Amino acid sequence: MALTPQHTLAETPASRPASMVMKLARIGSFHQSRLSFMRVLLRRLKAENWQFKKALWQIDEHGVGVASYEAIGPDRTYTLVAFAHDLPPEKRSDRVIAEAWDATFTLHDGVVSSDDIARLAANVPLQEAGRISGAEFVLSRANRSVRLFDYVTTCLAQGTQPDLAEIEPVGYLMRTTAVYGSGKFGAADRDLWGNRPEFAGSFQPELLAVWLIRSFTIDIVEHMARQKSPDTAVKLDPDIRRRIGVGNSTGLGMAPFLMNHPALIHAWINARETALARVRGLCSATPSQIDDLATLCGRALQNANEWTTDSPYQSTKTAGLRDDLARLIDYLAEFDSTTDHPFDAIYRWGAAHMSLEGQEQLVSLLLEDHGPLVDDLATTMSANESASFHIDGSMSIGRLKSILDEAYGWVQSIDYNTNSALARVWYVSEEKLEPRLGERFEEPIEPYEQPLAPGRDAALVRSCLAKWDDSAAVAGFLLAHPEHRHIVRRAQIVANLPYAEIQDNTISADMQPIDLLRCKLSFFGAAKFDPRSDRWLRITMYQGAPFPDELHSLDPDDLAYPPLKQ
Amino acid sequence: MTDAPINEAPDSEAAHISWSLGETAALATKAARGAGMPWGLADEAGFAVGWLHARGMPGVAALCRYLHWRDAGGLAVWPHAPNSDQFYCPITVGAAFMDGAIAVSTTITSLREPLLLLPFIGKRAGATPLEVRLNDTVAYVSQNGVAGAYVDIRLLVSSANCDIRQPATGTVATDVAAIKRPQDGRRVASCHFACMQTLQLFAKRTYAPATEASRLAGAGAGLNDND
Repeated sequence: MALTPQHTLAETPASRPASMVMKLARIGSFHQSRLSFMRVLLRRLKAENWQFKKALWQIDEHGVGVASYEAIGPDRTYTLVAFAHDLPPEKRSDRVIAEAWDATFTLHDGVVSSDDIARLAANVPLQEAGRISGAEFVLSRANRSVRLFDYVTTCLAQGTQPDLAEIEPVGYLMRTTAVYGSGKFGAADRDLWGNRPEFAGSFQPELLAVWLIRSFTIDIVEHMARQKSPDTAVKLDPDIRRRIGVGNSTGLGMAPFLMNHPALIHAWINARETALARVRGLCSATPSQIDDLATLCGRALQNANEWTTDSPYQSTKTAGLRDDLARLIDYLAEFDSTTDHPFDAIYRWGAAHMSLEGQEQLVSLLLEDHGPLVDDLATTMSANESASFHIDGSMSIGRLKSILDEAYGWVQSIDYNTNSALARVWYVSEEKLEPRLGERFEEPIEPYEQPLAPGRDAALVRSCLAKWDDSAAVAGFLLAHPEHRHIVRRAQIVANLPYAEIQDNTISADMQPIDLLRCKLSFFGAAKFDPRSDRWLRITMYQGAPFPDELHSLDPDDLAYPPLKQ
Repeated sequence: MTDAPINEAPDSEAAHISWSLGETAALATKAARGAGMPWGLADEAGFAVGWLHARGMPGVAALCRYLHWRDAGGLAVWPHAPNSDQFYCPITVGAAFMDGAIAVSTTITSLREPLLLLPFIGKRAGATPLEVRLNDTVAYVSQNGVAGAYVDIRLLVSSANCDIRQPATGTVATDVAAIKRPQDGRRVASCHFACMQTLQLFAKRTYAPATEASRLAGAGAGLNDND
């Protein structure tokens, strides 16, 4: 019988407070967990016995052409359409300013017709310069890994398997450089598919597309090997193949998302914090549960050991994580499994003895073996943002002041009269319409500032409100001061949703933009964060996960951490 | 009808284009900001345009014409009475009406692009429609939508005097019943191509011109991205 929260818990300790969780350094240390959207997707596809087929493969000897992959669910079918291109190496760039890619993709609602493919062939390869329709949900593209693609092609052509020692540090044959959904570039609005049960949660169409893209990257490398040497070429061994995920390069384009979707971010973090509280609330554990947790920590340590980066920022954090996990394993070896509230005790030990990187890894590990207790929370990880959009004009000024004093009390520790507190400006560049981060006091960009400094704006509106009578209504204040409308809207959202706001200065001189990217990507389910500067990074997605042809026989959750080396 | 054309025949390139409501609302927000609205009001412009198109009404045309006018026009500031050449902003006044800063029974003289006011009236009305009289056209507006004779085209006027009131009991049952919920899957059709291009031009004012230094530093050039 599956355990349910009701009969396993004596009490649920309070979730960690937002004042502790919602700091850039901590959310920038989040790891993937069983609530991450890739894992939610694969659990559902397996539970519902989805079928998959490569419906079309018209790729020529140069690796150019079109392919399609159908995902067939209980109610509906979705098709990934992949266009393979012959990209000259000098044109290969992960920057959003690129105009050509090794492969381009769209996820289509239903089975594609030849007319659909002709329409998509005229648009999808152009990416942002083309248009997709309400019958498409996702637009994406990918580039080959120079380090790995040719190596694997050559090995397979020669009839040998690639060396895992070469594959692990990279982890992918191709990396996506954008995965657009939700109405972008003509794609269907989220409202059109948001109520479909297969897409409950967040980013499910996008991550279905990425998982199918992974199959394409394998098919294209095996295809190129056959073209190179038809007589000797072999397919990838399944165990090696599984260690190949999809890479992703992510820049600042993703960073404002966390600030522009406060209700959604609350839903994500609240689910994770609620899951942690449920596990910490368990009264007892069996010795084997503690043993399993220790084994899992060993696998997480192996993952950390395989995590390579040239980033000094991440290198320091990853070294700390390895040390944390080694000590955690020692601690668990001596742990008395009869301890009251054992998982709470383990969490508390971690909070006292590990770095933020280690603490947040421990949070993910504590959830891992408690699927029946926490997996239901995955369906809460979305938000009706239009419901929280509208301002309550009848709220009293006094109430608004108290919201600002409580939910934004943290801004009182920031001196916004100093240049270092105001050093950065979030703006959008004319060149590629992408978010950028500039220096307020060095570049002429302040007139273009985006509203991505809630702390500063909360301080400004609080100061302006001082002259207003507490009994007046917010409506009159906003008519007189429309410049504060965006932050009043935000404060009213944050008042009810504590994890909606990052409680840090997002324009300070020492802010690390990659912390924002890392937080979002961890919820996607990404691993091996590899910052390439302070504002873009690479990750791998689905490394270790089953492929469509083995989903029925493998447990995707058991593959989320690498197997221990024998 | 006056001002910018709203129904230009699409050229062959544009004939098959349609826009999602989400990207249209996002563009409307940026365009309104580019035309000088504070961010919080620009968000309301995005809401209003999305609300109208979800109900098949030409929000981008109204916003396009309004932003054009606003560039040189004289804005009246509520509640001060407008001069002869001044008009109220439908977004500013609409947001204030929605918030409750303006009484339900209200006369707004000299309102620019009154179509853009309707989403805010609908939001405040909730399930019980309000009667809206724009010059000689009467419409009933609730959270579901708008009903009245030919309102979809007659409300697209450059300016009007606007009376909002609770409908008289029993007189409007047919019109009120005609207010339908928005349909799923609505798109912004290709006939709005020219308006969308105009909104792009306004949105462009929110984008910082690139320099080589910002191109590298702003996005974080860092290490080689091709390996």
